[in-house]
Amino acid sequence: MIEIIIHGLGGQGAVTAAQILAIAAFHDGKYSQAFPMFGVERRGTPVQAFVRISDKKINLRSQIYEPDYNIVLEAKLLENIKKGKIIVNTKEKIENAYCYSAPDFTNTVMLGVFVKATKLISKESLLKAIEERFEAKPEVIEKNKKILEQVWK
Amino acid sequence: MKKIEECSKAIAEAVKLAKPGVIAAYPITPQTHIVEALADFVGNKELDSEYINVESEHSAMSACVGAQATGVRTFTATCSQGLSLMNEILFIASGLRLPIVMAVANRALSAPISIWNDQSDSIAARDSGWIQLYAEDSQEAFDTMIQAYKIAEKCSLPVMVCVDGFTLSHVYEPVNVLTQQEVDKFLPKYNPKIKLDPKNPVTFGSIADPSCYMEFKKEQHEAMLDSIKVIKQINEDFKKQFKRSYGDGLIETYNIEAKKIFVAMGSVCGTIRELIDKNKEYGLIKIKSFRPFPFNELKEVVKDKELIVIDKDISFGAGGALAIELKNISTNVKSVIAGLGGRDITIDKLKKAAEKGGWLL
Repeated sequence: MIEIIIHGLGGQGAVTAAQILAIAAFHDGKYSQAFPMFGVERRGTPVQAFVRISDKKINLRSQIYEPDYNIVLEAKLLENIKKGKIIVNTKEKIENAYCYSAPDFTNTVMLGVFVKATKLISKESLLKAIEERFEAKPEVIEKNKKILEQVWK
Repeated sequence: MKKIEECSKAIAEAVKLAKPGVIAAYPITPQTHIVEALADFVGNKELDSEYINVESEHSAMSACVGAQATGVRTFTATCSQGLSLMNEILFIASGLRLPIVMAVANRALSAPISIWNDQSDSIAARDSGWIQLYAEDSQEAFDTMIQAYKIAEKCSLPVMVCVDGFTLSHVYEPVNVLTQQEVDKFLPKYNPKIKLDPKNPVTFGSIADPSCYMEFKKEQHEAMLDSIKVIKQINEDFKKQFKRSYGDGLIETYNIEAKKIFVAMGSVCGTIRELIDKNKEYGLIKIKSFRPFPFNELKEVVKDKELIVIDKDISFGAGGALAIELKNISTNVKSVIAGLGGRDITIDKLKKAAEKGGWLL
């Protein structure tokens, strides 16, 4: 089982990103689970969202404490991370972390970076998941897809 | 069809498939996503239902009582303070023997304010005469919603389906959603024998003096006891039609050959299963039906077992509500109070609980 924490600030879309990742893994034929770290979510405060991906049904419901991966949408949240590989949105070069600058559509772009780097999920399933998650907002889908393509350039 | 969606959405889809004539609800975290999804279904005409925006949960349940009495299916959802505010009408719904179905996204009670999960809210409604069914995962939540209507209408009793707030209500995970055709085959049209009808006037719940009130209450209690049979039968029917079931419908066991057996309700059972997969010295009894309480079904199973009873609730001055029940049928009960106000329950904590019991802080 792979465990992932998405770290963000309220409003950056960490919870949505976790949902998209779980949907994408599902489309790859895997079992997946996504849930928010139930903070009093409001703009600007730290938010964590959890994702589990497995070949078997996932029963575990506790939060994730020792993730395999951290997808970090805001670099100043790095100080909270103690375990797991790190993929971070930053212009800086940070040691022991995969760095990528994603000022716009940060959550989906960082998912793209994660998918490209780890190959844990197919690109096709990621795109399909974005379409599915933003079904109610079709104008967002195209913008997300367009900006995601730059990750693979 | 297998898909992935939020548990709240899956619950809303199950309700849609049951085609309630009236939905009355007031939003409260973490229940809101359920009624939001239903409002969308009604708004975009996927569901032909009267959606009543009420000013409180007291009114939500009152509207359901009135509507159900005219002979339509109803639905509402709430939790925590909302369920407490409904409390007065919960007793009226059950006393009038109205098969209302409600989803509860379990949340802690104030004060102090907590929006996070525990089961104190539904446990506090224990004696309201409602059947209480607890779901472990999204699939069980979906399936139990469908079954709940059938159970309620067969027994003329209201049913609340409880899912852990956030911990389950907000989880995205795969769920097999049934088709309308499949549900129509399983769940017959609602056709109550007695209803409010101007052409054939009747009175519901008129005053009962000391010469007859007690008979009403005895009947209510007996209906609750009889519902055990019905819940089992409907679990069997469901299994026959959809190839899925949850133990006998009341309790479900896992690695019951073990000596140390966790007894728990709701989503924490998943985490306990994960522990058992790593360590076979433990087993699990999942209580799916807290009311009616399956004493007879449990008696055989708990014999010679060391029970570790996990309560996500506290009856102040007495202890965990589930442990209190188990003590009726076992002298080997270790009571554990855990997960109040959203305190995370991990595998390590469960192991600690198995050793010493008490408060899992």
